[in-house]
Amino acid sequence: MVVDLAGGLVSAPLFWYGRGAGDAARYCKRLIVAQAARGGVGVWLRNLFVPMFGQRDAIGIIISFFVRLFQIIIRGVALVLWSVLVGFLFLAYLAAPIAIVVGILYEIGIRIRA
Amino acid sequence: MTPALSCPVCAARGYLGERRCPNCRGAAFVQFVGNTLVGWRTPLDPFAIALRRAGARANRIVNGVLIGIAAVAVGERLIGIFISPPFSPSFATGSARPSLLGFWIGAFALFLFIARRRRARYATVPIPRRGYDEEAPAIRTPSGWEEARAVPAHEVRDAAASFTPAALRAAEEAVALAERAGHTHIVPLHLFAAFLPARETAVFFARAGVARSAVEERVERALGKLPSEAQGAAPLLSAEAQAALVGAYARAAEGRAALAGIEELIVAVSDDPRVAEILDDVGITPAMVGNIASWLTLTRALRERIARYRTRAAQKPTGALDRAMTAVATPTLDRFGRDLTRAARFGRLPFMVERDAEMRAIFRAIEGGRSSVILVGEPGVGKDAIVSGLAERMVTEEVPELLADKRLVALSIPDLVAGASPAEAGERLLTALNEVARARNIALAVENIDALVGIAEGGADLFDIFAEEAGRGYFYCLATATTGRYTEAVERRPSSHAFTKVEIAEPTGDQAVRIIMALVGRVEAEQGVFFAYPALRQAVTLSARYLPERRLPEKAIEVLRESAQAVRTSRGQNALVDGEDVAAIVSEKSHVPVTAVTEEETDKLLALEGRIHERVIGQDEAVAAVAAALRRARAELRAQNRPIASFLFLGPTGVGKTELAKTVSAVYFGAEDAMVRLDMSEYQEASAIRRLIGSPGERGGGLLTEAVRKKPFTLLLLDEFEKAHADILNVFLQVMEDGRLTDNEGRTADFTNVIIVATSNAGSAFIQDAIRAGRPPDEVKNDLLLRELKGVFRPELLNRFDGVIVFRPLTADQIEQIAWLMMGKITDLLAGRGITFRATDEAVKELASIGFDPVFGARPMRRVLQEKVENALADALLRQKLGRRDTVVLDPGGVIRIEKAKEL
Repeated sequence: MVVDLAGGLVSAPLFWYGRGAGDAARYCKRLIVAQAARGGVGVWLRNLFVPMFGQRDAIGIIISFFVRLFQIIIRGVALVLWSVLVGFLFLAYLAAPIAIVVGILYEIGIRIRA
Repeated sequence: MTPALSCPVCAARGYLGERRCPNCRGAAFVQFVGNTLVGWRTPLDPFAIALRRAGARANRIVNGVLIGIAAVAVGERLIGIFISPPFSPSFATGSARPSLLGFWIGAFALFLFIARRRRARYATVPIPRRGYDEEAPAIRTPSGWEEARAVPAHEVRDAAASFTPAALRAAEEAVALAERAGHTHIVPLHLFAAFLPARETAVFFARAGVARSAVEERVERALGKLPSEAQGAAPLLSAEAQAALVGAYARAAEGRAALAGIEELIVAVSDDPRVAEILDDVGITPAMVGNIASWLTLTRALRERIARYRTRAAQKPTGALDRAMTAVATPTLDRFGRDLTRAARFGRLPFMVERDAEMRAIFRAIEGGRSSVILVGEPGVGKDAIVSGLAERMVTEEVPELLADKRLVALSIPDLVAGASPAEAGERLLTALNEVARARNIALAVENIDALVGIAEGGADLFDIFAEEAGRGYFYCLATATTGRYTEAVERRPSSHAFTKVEIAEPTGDQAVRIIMALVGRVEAEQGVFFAYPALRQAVTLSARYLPERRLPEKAIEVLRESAQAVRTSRGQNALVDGEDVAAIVSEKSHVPVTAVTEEETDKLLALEGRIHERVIGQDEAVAAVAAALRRARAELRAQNRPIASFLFLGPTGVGKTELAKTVSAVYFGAEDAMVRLDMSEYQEASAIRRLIGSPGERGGGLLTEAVRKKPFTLLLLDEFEKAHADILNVFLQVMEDGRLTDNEGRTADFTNVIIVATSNAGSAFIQDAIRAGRPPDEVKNDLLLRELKGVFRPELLNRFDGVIVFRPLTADQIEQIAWLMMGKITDLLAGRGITFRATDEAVKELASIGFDPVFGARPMRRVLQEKVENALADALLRQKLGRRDTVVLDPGGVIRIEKAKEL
């Protein structure tokens, strides 16, 4: 059991930054891809010149183009924001063990200084 | 079961002492599952197992300690925040903020705990899931270790790593069992014994409708019979056990399961003769094992599928618009249609199973450039289920690119034509189609498209209009039609070429059972009962046999639903519905005794002759032959593809031929009139065959085929058989041989549950003379068949009958018994009016002597009774000489004596 625990102390960080980090990265990627599918920026981009709601007259096409452009920008920004958020989540994952260690050292340091 | 390639160097242990075996590279025994080489790298010797278990225990303790520390730390923090500030010394003294060391240590413990848990998940390796259009992996034994070693060591999969914890524990427990009993080898029986206590096994046996304790007893006895020799030495895995272990993996891969569980192990060990024998003894056949296990894995897979479906469905737009919003609003279509993808998106449509082949055919047609497909099949075979299945796939976008990001809208023809003139309906249709064209994101589903045929708008048929538009290919369309209506209404129209026909066959046997497995979950949830596997099996088999009017799987589901209701009413919630419950419902619906033969019924069947003799006097040979045939039929000891029995009753008129047929009908089919009676003297012309099986080109089948289709379990009485035209006799030749007859519309009538009785008085003069001359009955029958009937029936027809039975002329004695029977009938009649009737012996004797006629048998008897008894009784009744509670006595000479009842 002691061996198990001691081994764990060494292997846990290795796992965390190795395979575990890979897992976390994949999970974050899935989150972003799912959001991209929901937002459908790609689909909007592909249909940039296709009029919306079947309005094929000149004004319809022009309005459609700008609405689509606007939509693409909004949706694109939303996707970027979401990606940044997910990125932070991943960073938090990476930073967590370091923060813990630093926290413990800091607490000990305080005690010593006090 | 495909054997595994076993390592001879390490005796399939994977290790030589502490060292990994160089020959098998630790894989012990291997098998190819598809292109993957699967071995066993988790040693199964007692020491390794003990080590693994100790490790697991230590792991649990460590994890417990870690989570404990984390909990204490968090708890302390919470208390620190909410309670301590006003009272804590640090607050009181105004010193620095409280120490966070505890919190950080707790966080550290939590970190270790999470890391350990996540890392532990890598101990099990899920089996790669094959796609829904991939074939099942082929299972093959490598030709030798050279071939096995050609696979790089890191690519060899460890089957044990893909076992569920319960399954792996069972494998380990099997080793312990063998070791305790001193067995040299671990055989599949050990594995079987080891997983008997598992929860999955309990579910398995519950689904099989078998008590687990019954199996446990037998397993224990079988284990006791294994030779025990080795003491001390660790038991080795036998070749069969090795095959079972990798076989479980293979089955899981085949069934698209992520891990091999107990279900897979059960199937894998059931091939072993010892295990198979035990299962067979409790009534579980090898086929049942596979099917029940499939059911359990299917249930598991459905759960996984629903979960996967939900995540994917969340990405499908719910509204009428596609993702790019190029679609156009479709008000007309919305009015006459239902958005199936939307319904599927919200989980309102049933899941489709076992229809991959049909779905592939549809996709093939669409990808091949055809835009319209018509599904043709009998009602109830699952055409709508396939349409729902398409909607479901469109939601998850598991469809060809052409159907991607579209919605499936079911256009309802009844709604379209309701309250509209043909012209208006046509206009609505064109408007809707125009909207479909403009929207560009719609695929149409049209149920029973044949309903459009015949609605004519100024000469143009609505179907033709629709087909014309469909032929232009600007929208995708999935239509359905029943086989009958398709042949009749759609097929002959030139416009029908716009559609690619995909035939939907009625699922049979195992396929139907598996479809039902996926559907009964809903019935179970609704009714709060559980189905045992035999119930599903019976529902399919019995409904296929006895409810010919409808199709599988619909009728089987219907039967199961009714059985569930009946069981819930009689036995309450959570009761188990077994095969007998289903049989009872089928019996009720079809009026066919299909439930297991009860003790009471056994007695009845064994005493059948006596019961028949209550109504038929004499003719012992005929009665015995018929009774024997009925017993064979009830014990299911008969050819399933021929009628239950076919008899030719020969003999003079009035000796009981028809009466025996009626009696059989009453005894076996429940009612005297539960029979189809044809007077063959009406079929003397060859053209009369049209009346029997219907005329070509006309609707409504023939007399015979329709009667048998409606009442497939019946007695067919063919009176005066010899009078029918030779061509018509040939028809019956075929019926007796194949048990089926096809009518003018191409539908088959099933005669396999029919008893055919043909009566004939051909050769009756010969019979009477021969019997009177005192010749033995067998000789009479031989002469009759070989000589007298030669010109009447063809020999092959006579041969086709299960029994040609010669009825003997009645003797004076028998006529008297018949007279008593007839008296009995009058007694019953009068008893209904509260009058007692009695006849003296002398009177009956006298009637019998008047009524006896060697030529006409018992027939004159009825006339005599009418004249001598019934007339007088009618007279007395009409003159109101007879009242309730009076007694009538029949004296000799046809004298009626009335004994008035005492006045009250």
